[in-house]
Amino acid sequence: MTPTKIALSPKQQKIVYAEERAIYVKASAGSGKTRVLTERIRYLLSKTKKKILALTFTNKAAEEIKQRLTDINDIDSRLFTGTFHGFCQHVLENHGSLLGFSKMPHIFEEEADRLELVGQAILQTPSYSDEYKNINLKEQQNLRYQALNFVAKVKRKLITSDEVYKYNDDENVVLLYLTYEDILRSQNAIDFDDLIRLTYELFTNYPNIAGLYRRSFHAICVDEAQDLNNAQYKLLQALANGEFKNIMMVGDPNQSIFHFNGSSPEFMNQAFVKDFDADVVELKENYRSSKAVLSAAKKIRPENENISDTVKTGIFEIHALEDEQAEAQWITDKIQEWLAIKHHDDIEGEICPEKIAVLARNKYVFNALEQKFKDTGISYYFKMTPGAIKFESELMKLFDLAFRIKINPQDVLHKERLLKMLNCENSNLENLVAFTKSLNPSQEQQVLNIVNGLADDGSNLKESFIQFKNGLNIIDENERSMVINDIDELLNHWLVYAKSTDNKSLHYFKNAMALGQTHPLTQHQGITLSTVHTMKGQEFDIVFLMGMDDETFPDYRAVKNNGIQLTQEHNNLYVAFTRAKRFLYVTWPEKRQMPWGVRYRKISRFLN
Amino acid sequence: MDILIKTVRVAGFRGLQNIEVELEETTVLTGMNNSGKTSFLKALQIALGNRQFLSPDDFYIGKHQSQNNKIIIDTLIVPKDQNGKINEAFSEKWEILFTTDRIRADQLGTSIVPLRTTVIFDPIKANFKTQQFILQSWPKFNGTANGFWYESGEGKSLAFPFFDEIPFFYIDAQRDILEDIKLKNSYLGKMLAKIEYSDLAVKEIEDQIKALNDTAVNSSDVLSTIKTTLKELDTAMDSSSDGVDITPFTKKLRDLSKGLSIYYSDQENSFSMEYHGMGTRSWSSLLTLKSFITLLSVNASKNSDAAFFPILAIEEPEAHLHPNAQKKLYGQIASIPGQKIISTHSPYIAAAAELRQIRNFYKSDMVNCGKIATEQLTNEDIRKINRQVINTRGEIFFSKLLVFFEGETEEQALPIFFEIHFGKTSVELGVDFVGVGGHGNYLPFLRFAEWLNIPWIIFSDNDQKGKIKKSVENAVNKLYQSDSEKDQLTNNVLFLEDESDFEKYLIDSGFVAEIESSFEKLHSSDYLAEHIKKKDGAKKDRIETAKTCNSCKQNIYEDVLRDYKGDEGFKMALYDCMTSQKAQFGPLIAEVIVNSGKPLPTKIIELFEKIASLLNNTETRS
Repeated sequence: MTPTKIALSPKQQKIVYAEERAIYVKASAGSGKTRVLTERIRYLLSKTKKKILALTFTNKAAEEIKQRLTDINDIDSRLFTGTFHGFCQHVLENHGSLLGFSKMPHIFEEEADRLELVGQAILQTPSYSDEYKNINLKEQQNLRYQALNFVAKVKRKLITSDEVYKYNDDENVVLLYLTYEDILRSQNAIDFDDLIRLTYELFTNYPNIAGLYRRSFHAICVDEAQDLNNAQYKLLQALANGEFKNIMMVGDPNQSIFHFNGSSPEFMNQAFVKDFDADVVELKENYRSSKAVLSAAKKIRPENENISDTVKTGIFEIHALEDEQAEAQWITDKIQEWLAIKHHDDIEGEICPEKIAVLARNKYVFNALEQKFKDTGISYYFKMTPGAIKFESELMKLFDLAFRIKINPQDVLHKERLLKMLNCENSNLENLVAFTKSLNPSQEQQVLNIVNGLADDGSNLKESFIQFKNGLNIIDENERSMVINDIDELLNHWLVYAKSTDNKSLHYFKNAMALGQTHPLTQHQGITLSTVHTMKGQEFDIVFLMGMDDETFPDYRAVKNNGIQLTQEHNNLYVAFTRAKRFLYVTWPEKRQMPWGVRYRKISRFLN
Repeated sequence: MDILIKTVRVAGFRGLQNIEVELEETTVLTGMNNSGKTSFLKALQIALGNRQFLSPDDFYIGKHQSQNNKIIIDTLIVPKDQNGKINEAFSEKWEILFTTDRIRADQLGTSIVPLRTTVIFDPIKANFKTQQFILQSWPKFNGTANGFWYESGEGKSLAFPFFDEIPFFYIDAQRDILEDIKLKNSYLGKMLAKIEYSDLAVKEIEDQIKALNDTAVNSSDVLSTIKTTLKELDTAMDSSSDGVDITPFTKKLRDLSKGLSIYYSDQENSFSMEYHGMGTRSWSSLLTLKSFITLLSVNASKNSDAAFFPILAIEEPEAHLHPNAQKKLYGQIASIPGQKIISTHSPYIAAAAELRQIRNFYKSDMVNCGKIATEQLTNEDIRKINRQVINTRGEIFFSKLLVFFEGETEEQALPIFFEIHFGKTSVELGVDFVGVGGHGNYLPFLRFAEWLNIPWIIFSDNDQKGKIKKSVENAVNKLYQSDSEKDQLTNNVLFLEDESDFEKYLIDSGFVAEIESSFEKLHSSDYLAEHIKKKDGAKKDRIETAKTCNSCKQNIYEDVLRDYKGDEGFKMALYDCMTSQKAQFGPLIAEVIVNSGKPLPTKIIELFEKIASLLNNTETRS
């Protein structure tokens, strides 16, 4: 990842220096597509004074592109890298006033929040409320999910609130949708899907604004374009407006795993190629993986891999172990073995914990392994889902609620939660300062006092928390360390944010956290434990894929539903395999200890 | 394609409480002294230029409030094409410079850069905090949800660091080419520091200087003796130097500009600038700035990607210059690249500018800025204002109050009466008496005064059977839009008694003896008697009768003969004499009336009381 002079293969060069027009690079895993993309950006930047827009699907990918180009002068002002949501947020902050937002609205990014809002909307929609009140909690939860799904679908179709009725005959559904929107707006908030939809609305209603952005960019590059959904693609079209052709999309149709948000490789494969008359270039070479790993991947996707070009031999093994404990023990032993050996021809440099990752379909599969790691003193960390901090301690959860209310006093949702948390449901939270005064002296009151005392530009945030940390008086040691961990995490996020801007504000800090832009990307120490989903885009020399028993991977729900979900799981497995650069060890337990007894398992249907 | 600062708003700076000024490519600021013109230019400097001059006294001190603690300056930058027309979008080089972070759109989607600059004084640290913002949109002047424009949200704090691309030049009234030559950081000094010659030219010039030096030394006994004597140094020094050189002319080319002097010569004599008056020196200083900016602009235009648009604030360019030079100045300034804002007290500069470029600052309860709404005028209207108002009465740009009337007698007599009544001359109080030259000519003057916010009074004749009254009222009617405005405006018109003009009014007000004595002074003691004898019964006029001619069907006119008999006849004779000799008669009758010790005619007292009340209004309110 160091920005040294990079040697490109002839095929990669052809793409990097290609004529400036619409290009679709169909790149398979390990073909060096991120490298091609960044070198293309470097080349284009040398030819223009304008900016380049590089759109990604994770902040990490955006950060990586930027990292690789740090040697270019003024890269921060020459290149806009970010997710679609980040780009849209930027546009709305600058030009949202045309849509009537006097101030950037707050973003409700968490599903739990939106579920609660949609619950309120259901209760306020007469035709649903009666039914809703009479069903059990689980069914209520289901109904909320369905309603939220509907809302998201409407938004991803870029339909405005005024037009919803045109697309739905059912008045009640429309009413529910509009109620949800009203609740959101009354709290001066928007949700994630709104970011794209509103930007699309801005670009289509004000063609001059789209023109302004179009002209400000010399080229647009989209990384991992297989994850595009309808709204994002339409947004790009609105931005390009049929005139802008200098767009490069790089993606691998086989790695499409975001289906839950309506994404499809078709937008890149077909729509882009047709609408923009794009050249299609294939990039199949593999520079990344060993022959062993690739051969294994080829078994999952026979059409995909070009093994002939690989240099390193590598290791691929599948092991069946007696149970979860044995599985965990085997992995622990193997890791210790490699760490002791230290060197292998296939691996550059010393083998260290940072080069090793353990993957699983979901995070509960790691329980046994975590215990083993603790017992043997192997250091490890959990790779987090990017996004806002999820506080673990009650005290900092309280902080989170109060913080939201401070920056958005119209936020009724979190006001109610805060009152509930402090068992003051009958109190009035019109004014946070007055409310804080009405409390008895306590740690909780101290936290609220910190929130009330925070300067709008956050200048005293760090200092306030350090003082608070030092005076912390909680008897339970576990709880105390939890609070301290949470505070440190918050301060880490603040540091990342504070370094990124001259113009600090708590409001923008909150939004930046919501978009995952403040997630500290510093290197962690130890073995990486991660679910398949969070590992996207990152590779390790040595990968263990554990819990490969059927109905764990593929997930039992996907097995039950079959169809696209199962295809999805198949893709997930392919992604998991290709996270390994050199050695891949797949393990599965022949039996599992369930709370209700021992159950025998079979090997994953994908490995049979 | 370029840009234009279209609108500037200032709140809380010096005497400017809350003002909006629309700017043109060249804008000429007129108005009385102390009306806020310089403050406005300085405010623009805070937004775009050097802010080091700021002091705590720069914060507005209102009458009804304690000291304001914040200066707010909003500037609206818009795209403009080569012809000065507003464009929909900025050209590429400006878009790249401003970036999407600074470019906003109005509701029609037209690109704008709404820049806000705020200054806060921190009394504890005793320093100023200046911040710049890009507003979300350009607020209405008055009528945002929060009130005035400056109460709208600030938007995003963002620097506007374009001092190279949009350089701001402030040229104050105290400029002097001699100072410029001495100062390294003057525009001239900066240019001189950048003089470059090719190597070949350096050698050639330096060779010529050497030859010149040799000739000069060899032709002078004194110099050659000194040189020979100094050569003895060589023997004392343990060195193999080239010896001593005496150079009456500087030896190295790079030192040339250090001793630069500028000569300005007429046909006969050539004087160094030291010997010229301040006028020439001040003017030269301005012209060197022009050459500096032209140089910068030429350099910028070599690179088509380079954005460059200088802003010049020029304070009283006319200082020390004679009228003919003042007339030329406007054209010289207007042709400088970039946007120019000129404050002036020169009627010649104001007259040279186009009407749409004039902004008049007027201080009543607060400083306001008026402009002539040329878009509401026909070309003929504009010609009228130019011909009748600007070209003949340019000083009224700087009036505090305007009194309009028809004729010459008033123009001569009223200032004399004024001085007696007020004990001060009308000039001292900023009141101008302007004869419009006929009752049909009021409208362009009224429009002018209204648009520039200058208070006015009409002192009108009232003869010709109400025809004149009607004509004046018609002109006034064209000015107002609402009933309240109507009341206010009609209150500004003072008519003489029915069937009177100014001359007749004097006769009827009991000044017959004074008029007689004026004619005696003007001509001779028997002038009037002679005149009556000669003209009595002579034909005076023809009037239309009701009878028509049988053959041509037109009305028949009958001769009216002069009848100077009796008291009435005598008054008529007086009247005829007065109106035929207005120019000489006007000042004379005023003197005589003043010397007679009689009280002034009541209508004139009434006029002066109206003047006093309008002046007091502005005086007490300001």
